[in-house]
Amino acid sequence: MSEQEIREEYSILEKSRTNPDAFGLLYKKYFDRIFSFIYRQIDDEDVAGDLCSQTFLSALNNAGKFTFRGVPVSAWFYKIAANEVNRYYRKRKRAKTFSLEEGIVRTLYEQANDGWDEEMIERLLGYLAELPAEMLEVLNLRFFEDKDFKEIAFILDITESGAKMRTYRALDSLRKNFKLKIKYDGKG
Amino acid sequence: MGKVEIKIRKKILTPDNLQQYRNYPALLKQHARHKRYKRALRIFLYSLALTAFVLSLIFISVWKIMLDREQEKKKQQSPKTEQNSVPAKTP
Repeated sequence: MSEQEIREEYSILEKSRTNPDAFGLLYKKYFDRIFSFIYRQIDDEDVAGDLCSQTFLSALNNAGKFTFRGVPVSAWFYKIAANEVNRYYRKRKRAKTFSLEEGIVRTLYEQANDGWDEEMIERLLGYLAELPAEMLEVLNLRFFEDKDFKEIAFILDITESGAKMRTYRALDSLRKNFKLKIKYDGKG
Repeated sequence: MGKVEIKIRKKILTPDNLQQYRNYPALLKQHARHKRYKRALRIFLYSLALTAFVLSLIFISVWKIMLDREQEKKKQQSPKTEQNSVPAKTP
C-alpha cells in the first residue's frame, strides 16, 4: 500500500469523526479480511461475527484517538481485532484455537516442497500446536494476512526487529524440523 | 496438550457467506447510542463538578461567617474581661 493510499484512508477516518457515514467505506473494504482474521482464531462464525462488529464499533467510537504512524488504517483494525480475540479467550479461560484454511496451508507447503504429504501436514500441525501463541500470531499475520513487519509490530505492540526475530525463530525451527524452504519474508 | 489447538478447515469464507454478518446500519445505531451515552455521562460529570464547586463555595462562606461571628464574640467579651480583671500589684 502506497503512502498516498494510507493517507487517503486516514483522511476517511478523520472525516468519520464528524460524519460516521464516511466510515462505511472502510467497513466495506476491510470487513471480510478482519472477519477471516478473527474466524481463524475463534473457529466459530457467530462469535467471529460478533467480535468483528465489536472491532468496527470500537474503531468508529475511537476514530478521534487514532494518530497517523505510517501504517495503514487496517493495521489499527487488526490491532483492535487481536485485542478483542484475546479478551474473548481471557473471559472463557480456554486454550486458543487456530483454524487454518487448507488451501493456504497447501500453497505454503507446496511452494516449499514437491507435493502435499498428509502425514507431514499432521506432524506440522502437531508442531505448530506446541509453539507459543505469540509466535503463531506473528506467523498468522505474516503468512495468512500477508502483513509486513512494520504492520505486525504495530498490531502486536512490539518493535519491528522483535517481529522479525519472532518470525525468524518460528521459521528457523520449522525449517530444521520439516525441511521447509520458506524464507522469513514469506517467499519460497 | 499443546498451548494452542490447531485445526485445518476446508471451508472457505466467501463474501456471500459473510453477507449475513455485515450490518452497517446496526453499527451506526450502536455508535449513535454510544455517543448519546458519552454525552450524558459528560453532562453528568460536569454537573457533579459544578455542584461540588458550589457546595464548597457555600461551605467556605458559611465557615467564614461563623469565624467572623466568633471573632466578634471574642471582641465583645474581651472589654468585659479587662474590666473584671484585677490589676497586677507593682512592687
